[in-house]
Amino acid sequence: MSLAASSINVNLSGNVILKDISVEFPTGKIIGLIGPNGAGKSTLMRVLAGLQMIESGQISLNHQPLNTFSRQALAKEITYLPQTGECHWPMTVERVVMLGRHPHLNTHRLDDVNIQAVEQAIKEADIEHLIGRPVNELSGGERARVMLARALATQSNILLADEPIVSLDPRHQIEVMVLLQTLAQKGKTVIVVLHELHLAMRYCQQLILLDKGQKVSEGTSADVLTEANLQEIYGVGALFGEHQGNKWVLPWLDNKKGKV
Amino acid sequence: MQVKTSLNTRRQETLLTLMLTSILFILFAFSLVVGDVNINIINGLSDIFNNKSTLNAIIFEEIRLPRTLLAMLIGASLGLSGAALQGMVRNPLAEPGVIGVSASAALGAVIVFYFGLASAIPMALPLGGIAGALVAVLFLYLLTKNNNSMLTLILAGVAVSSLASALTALALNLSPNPYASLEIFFWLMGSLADRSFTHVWLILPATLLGWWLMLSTRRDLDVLSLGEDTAQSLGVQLQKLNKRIILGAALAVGAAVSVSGGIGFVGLVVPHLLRRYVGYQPGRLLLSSALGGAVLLLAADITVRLLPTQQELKIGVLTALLGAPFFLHLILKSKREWAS
Repeated sequence: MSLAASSINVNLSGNVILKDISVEFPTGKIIGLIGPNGAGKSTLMRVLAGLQMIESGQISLNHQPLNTFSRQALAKEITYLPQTGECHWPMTVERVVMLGRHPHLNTHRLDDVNIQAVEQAIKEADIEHLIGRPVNELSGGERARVMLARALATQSNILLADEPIVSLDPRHQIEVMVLLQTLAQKGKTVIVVLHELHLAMRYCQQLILLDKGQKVSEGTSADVLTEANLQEIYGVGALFGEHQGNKWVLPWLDNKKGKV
Repeated sequence: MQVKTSLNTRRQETLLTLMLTSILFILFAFSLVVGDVNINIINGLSDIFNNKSTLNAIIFEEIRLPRTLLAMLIGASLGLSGAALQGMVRNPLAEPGVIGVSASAALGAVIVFYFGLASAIPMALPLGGIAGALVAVLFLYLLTKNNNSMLTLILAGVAVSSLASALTALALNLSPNPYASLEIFFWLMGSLADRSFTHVWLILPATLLGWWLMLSTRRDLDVLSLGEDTAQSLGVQLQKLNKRIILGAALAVGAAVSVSGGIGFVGLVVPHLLRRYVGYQPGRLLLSSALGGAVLLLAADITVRLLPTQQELKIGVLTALLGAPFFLHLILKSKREWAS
């Protein structure tokens, strides 16, 4: 399943949100969308999920325009995990995860295949101990993992995750990134919005840097996460290093204004 | 992992459905026996089959049976519509009465009465109710489209109710015939007394269509709990879902109110009591709420027949007396949500 966007333009109430964005998402890779607040990352995710009206441009899935797919057909191919993990009723964890199977079901009754998918997703997101708890009583991080499990349960080929690790503790952040890596190795396309630049550097095979609605840089982490880019786009300096063959980056701003 | 057993809680739900159905069955039988006149059901039934017009047969066939059927139909419509509307706007306070749908339906029916259309074309009565209900549901939907907070919902309900009541009062005020006004006034209080099979047949098509429209959204409603974006990304056609519930609730409630007058709070109380037994899934709640609504309204109707009051208590007065404190309790319980 290949996903591509060409010359996407989005305006919201007169403001340019995305300007002439063209990107291709190769299968079997984790692609990170990064950029400062308001860069247009979440809007691009909604565009790719077919949830956002666009002024001009085209999104294609398997070389076919996205709008030729029905909602249900699209739901089997693309899973969208939004930033806000809203759930309006106090449903239990496993019932929320089960909703991820919706595109594959025609009744309320679950057969073994569907139950297995739910169980696997629960195991992968490490929320087995939360089963039976109402989702509105969980902490922010626990809730984020439940929503991730819901997304995993669909078992689609393309996963769009908008800041899936932002509220997680360090260990779960790394575990989720490893999980996404495993999915990519199985041939899925994982597109993820990240603010954690060190994890983006370590786990994303490709990075797309957005700023003010425009694509400013694209490529491997070595190409994108340069000192110059961080200074220009994020307005921070950076410390770089290497540990066991893995490069790391630490955004850094000296106490003295603007100097690194 | 106990996911399998926990997800297949069908036993609990089947038990709930069975329980509600059997209670309904018992109440149905009871409702045929209870009334001002003691009639012998067995004799009545055999008289009907033998085409004998005895008093037993007439009371049974023309008074008690239609009244019982109407209580079940209307109760089911109110319970189901409450559950469906709550699922659509994702708010437990949505209810045909509270949000002004019943009042608007009543206004529609009053307009039909006022112009004397009801006696000329019987079908005009349910159609007037449905039109009134439709306007209110559409208004509610537009108001809560981008903001489904408790405050918006309640205020929208107050506004719609006030406007509909004001226009109804205006119609009564300007009515040239004071007796007709009084009749409409009593009708507005909500009652199932003195209804016939004509009323059953009049509202049956719209009611069944409304039920079908609402029940057809049951799986999509569950997914809508996760918000509109997620629901759409999981394959829900949002426009279609909203249209079906708006039209379905307007058909069912409009038809119900045009025959019974205003009966409030059934759609609020029933889903609230049953929600926990279906795992808080709004889609699974629909069928149980329909059954629960039928049970509640039939029980209420039997109660007003049994109460030793000089004049029979109107069923709408009884449900309001019991429902309003319940509504208050629900608001106080969810007070912290008001901040959002």
